[in-house]
Amino acid sequence: MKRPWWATQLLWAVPLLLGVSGFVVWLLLLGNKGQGIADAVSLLVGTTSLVVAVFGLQNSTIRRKAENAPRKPLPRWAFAGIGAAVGAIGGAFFWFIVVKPDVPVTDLVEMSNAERMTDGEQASFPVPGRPPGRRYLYFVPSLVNHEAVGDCVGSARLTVTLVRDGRKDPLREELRSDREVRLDLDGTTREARVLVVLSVPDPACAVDLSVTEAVLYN
Amino acid sequence: MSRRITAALAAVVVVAACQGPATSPRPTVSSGSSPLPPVTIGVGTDIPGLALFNPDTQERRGFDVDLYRWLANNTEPKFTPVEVSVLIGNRVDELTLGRVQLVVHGFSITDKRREEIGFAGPYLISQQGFLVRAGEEGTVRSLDDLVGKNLCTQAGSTSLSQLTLGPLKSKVTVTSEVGTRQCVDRLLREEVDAVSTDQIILLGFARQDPGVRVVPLTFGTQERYGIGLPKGDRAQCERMTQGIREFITNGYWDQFFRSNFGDLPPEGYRPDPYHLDPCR
Repeated sequence: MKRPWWATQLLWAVPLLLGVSGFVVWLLLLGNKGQGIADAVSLLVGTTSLVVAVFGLQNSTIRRKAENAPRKPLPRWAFAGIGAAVGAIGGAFFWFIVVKPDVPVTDLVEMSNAERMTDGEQASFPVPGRPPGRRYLYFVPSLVNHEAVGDCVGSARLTVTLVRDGRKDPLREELRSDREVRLDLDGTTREARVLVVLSVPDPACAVDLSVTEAVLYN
Repeated sequence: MSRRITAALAAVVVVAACQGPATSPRPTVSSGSSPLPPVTIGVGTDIPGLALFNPDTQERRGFDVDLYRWLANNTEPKFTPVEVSVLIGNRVDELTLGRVQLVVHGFSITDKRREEIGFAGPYLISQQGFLVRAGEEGTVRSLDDLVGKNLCTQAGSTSLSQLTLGPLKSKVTVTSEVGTRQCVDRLLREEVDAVSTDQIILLGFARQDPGVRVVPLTFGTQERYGIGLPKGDRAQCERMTQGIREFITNGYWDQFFRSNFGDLPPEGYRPDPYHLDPCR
């Protein structure tokens, strides 16, 4: 019994799609932000489109060949190997050269003057990388009140200022604890630093500031 | 939208009605046979200036009472407050167990309490102080003068936490009672040396009883009174916060502060209406 033409094509298409799907799942598990998720999904969609296009091309080629003298087909392992190689090289090129993945830097953030902060005090941290490897920084500052008393975290406001190559950015962002901040690092040639000033109405409040998540992304 | 809110409130009322009785044996409805949806509110009974309950006349008065009655008539949707007397130490539980929908009861907002419940506010700010017997106020000028003394405060309050964890930790003997009234009684019976709680509460007791005096000494973090509500009820929180903002900016805060605290200057007690805590 003769196999349909597409049965052979599955030998390379299935491993390719499985490989790319696994790669995309891995990328999503890295905790990418908005654009990163879109890029990862677009990689899968692009690969699927490629597979569908090749299927169509093969179909028309087979029809044409059926009219001429038959040629010896390539072995199955060759199809699978070529598919996997094209997927791996294309995916790696697309991801690491074209897209550039998000870089989680939470563990690299080193806060200074962030313990027992009181009203008006300033903490800071250098953005990892000299210069940072991506254009944007996403981070989540978080305050903790270790005392059983005081409306300190709930009433606190944080003013975030970016310093690029020693120059303070005139744009400041004011936010609450546990709210995300996105800073544009564009134009940084040497180093970027983030300043965070605490405003809390009760002068007796003393809170610790930390960064619970930080990601560099394009 | 308002239909949805009304329906939601009605559902909450039905659920509340199906639950067991709260601390008070009999809730009192403040405004007759109003068709407005009822909202159960946990309130105090023996805090001069903030919330007093007269069991003979079934009347309540105080700044807290004026505030929730104003909110009931001036926030959308309007509601009928169903007052339920709760003990200070039970305020969080009354909310988490669903026995009341709001708590307006000299209830200090704290980050720790926010782990269990929500708050709208603050609507009044105070700080912890000390009440002594008349004639002894000159003996307490600093915290050092209290070392070795026996201080009384309410169980389950931030005042107790500030005494046991703050700068007086291990330096004073702390006696706790269910309410400030019981502490004042113990002070007058010379069983304790001082009563320590929010200064605004102590001033109310001093106005009521010439046998006690508030010393001009405060310590610890601010006591920022908020309206307690179930955790995650953001819509109600936003409504109450907006209501408190209008209560302050429209001059009602000053009016009710004067009527409940007399000639006490409001500066320092009135929150900035434009910097109320955000709802979470």
